[in-house]
Amino acid sequence: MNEQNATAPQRAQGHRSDQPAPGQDLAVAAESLFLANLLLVPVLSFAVLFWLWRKHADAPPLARNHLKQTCYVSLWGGLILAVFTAAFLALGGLQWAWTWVLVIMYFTCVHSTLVICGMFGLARAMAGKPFRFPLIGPKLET
Amino acid sequence: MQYKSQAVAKPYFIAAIGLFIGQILFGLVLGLQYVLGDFLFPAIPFNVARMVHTNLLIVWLLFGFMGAAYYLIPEEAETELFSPKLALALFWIFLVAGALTIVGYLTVPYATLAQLTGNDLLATMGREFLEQPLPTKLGIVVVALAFLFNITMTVLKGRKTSIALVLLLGLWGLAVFFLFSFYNPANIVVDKFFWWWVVHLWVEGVWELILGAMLAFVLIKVTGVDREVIEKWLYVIVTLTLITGIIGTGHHYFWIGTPEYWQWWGSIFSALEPIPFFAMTVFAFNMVNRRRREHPNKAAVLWALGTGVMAFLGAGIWGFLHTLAPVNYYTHGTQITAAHGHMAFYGAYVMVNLTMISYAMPLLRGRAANSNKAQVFEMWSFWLMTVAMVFITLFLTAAGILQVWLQRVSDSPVPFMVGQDQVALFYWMREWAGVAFLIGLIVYVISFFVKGEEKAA
Ligand code: HEM
Ligand code: HEM
Ligand SMILES: [Fe+2]
Repeated sequence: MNEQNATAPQRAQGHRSDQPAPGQDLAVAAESLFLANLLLVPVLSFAVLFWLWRKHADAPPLARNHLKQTCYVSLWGGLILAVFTAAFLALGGLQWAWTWVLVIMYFTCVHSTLVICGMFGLARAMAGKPFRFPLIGPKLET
Repeated sequence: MQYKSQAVAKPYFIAAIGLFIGQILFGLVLGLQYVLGDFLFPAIPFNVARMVHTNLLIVWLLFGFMGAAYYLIPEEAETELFSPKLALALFWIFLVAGALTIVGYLTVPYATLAQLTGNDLLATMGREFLEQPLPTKLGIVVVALAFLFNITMTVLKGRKTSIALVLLLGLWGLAVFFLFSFYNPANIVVDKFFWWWVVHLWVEGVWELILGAMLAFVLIKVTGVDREVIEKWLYVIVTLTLITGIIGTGHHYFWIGTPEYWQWWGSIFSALEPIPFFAMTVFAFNMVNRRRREHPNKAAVLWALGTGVMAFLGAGIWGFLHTLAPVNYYTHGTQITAAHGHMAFYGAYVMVNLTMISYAMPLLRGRAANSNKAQVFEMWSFWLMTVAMVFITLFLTAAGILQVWLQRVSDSPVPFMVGQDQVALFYWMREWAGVAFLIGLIVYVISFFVKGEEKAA
């Protein structure tokens, strides 16, 4: 997988299934909150996620990686979702069939892409590995 | 391959792929008839082609499951299959019965077929997915019971692993729920009520257990992750499946004449049905991230991960899309349903069978993995078929939204066929995506014949 994305110390951390990597709990929490923000409790989940990111400024690199990625991508992803959906609705109007074709297709595709990426992130966090969201995830620090 | 008797899986896999090709060809015929109504008329009417398309799908998936069980059970139970001869005999019985049924569909008018095959003795025909004539249905039961006897005896005399037990539970469930296809009460509400006990409780119940067990088996093999870790996941998946899927049946009881409380029960429980699919995806990726070895069969790993993603999208997302009663009120029986049906069947059950075949076939042919070149072909076919299916789904979804608007939301609703004319462009695009799918399938078949340097088993 994205082995090349891992920084040297992170790669060295290894991922033995019997002992969690340092910062793994926070990393898993970050990805879970990211997903909860998309699937269960929007906004509130993000608020908690953001608070965790601020609070744990000196957490282990694994945790920082996942906190930063999920915060950025929640913001950018949310923005892309909301702005274009609103734009389509505003431009097309609620009374036009194609508005709904576009809005529902757009929202479903972007939303489910974000969810799938969050699941990849969660799987990596649970394996004690760093993750970079494709396209809109911030660059990994080295 | 560790046990000689696992070899009986091979003809099952080959037949599965053969029937898969037939299914897709009929899919393309259907897609063309959607836009060119006279295509192949009167030789192959739409309703017949549809029946062949869906029945071939179900039958080849069953061939795949049986092949998978014959491969998986001896290895898990650490003993030879109870009776390889029985397995081989059943293969031929099932294949001949299946072929005769398809020939019957294509050559005899359906009403005549019903007359010829004793539908007046026990009327079971004429219902979607359960169109098979009585003798075929009875044949399916006999084959299923003999098959279950064979693999259950194998497990009883050998090691009992969680994977084998979950697989057995799923397969027994499959057979038991099929019995409801013989129950066809005159009251159409009661009929539909129990029809879903076959259809829904299969794909959102017992088949999910089969899916979980097959995926777990392949993941153990290709990642080398500890069995205990994988088994824990499997228990979670099984539990979530049963908690959500059984009462989730209610999402089919919104508007068929059943009591109104089903709108609540069905909406709430089926809204939770994506959770086991979610767990399966995270499970598959987590295992591959924690892998302890690089398995030479890269294609099998790709199929396993793809199954997770596409099952979640098709069943989880596209299922949730129309599962709440207030939404389903508008979307019920539209192209939204077809979009979901295609991606869910492909993502979950087609792909898990191809995962198993991808892993087991090289071993059945005496090597750990196919040559790199053959794997490149196989991975191309993975992407072609998967991307094509994504497009089929998207075009059908777009057609569905438009259809809902035109027929059910608009202030001046149009009749069904007028609406269909207006979405024809999407049907054309669906057909082209279907052609891409067929090309992917051809590449897939070719991959079995590509030579190159192979790794010994
Ligand atoms: C792999 C699993 C699944 C498969 C193979 C599958 C397949 C199908 C198929 C073929 C149909 C159409 C049946 C017919 O009327 O002929 C259908 C209907 C439906 N499915 Fe699924 N499905 C799966 C999982 C799910 C899940 C998880 C949900 C909900 C979250 C869901 C929600 C629905 C609903 C609401 C309908 C009824 C659509 C209507 O009212 O027309 N499905 N499914
Ligand atoms: C070449 C690609 C394919 C094309 C063009 C195609 C086309 C069609 C068409 C036109 C129908 C009838 C829909 C209706 O009655 O409204 C249909 C039904 C169906 N097809 Fe396909 N199909 C293709 C591939 C597949 C594949 C790969 C699968 C399974 C993985 C599949 C599963 C189904 C199912 C489950 C139904 C019944 C859907 C329902 O009841 O809503 N098809 N297909
Ligand atoms: Fe269902």
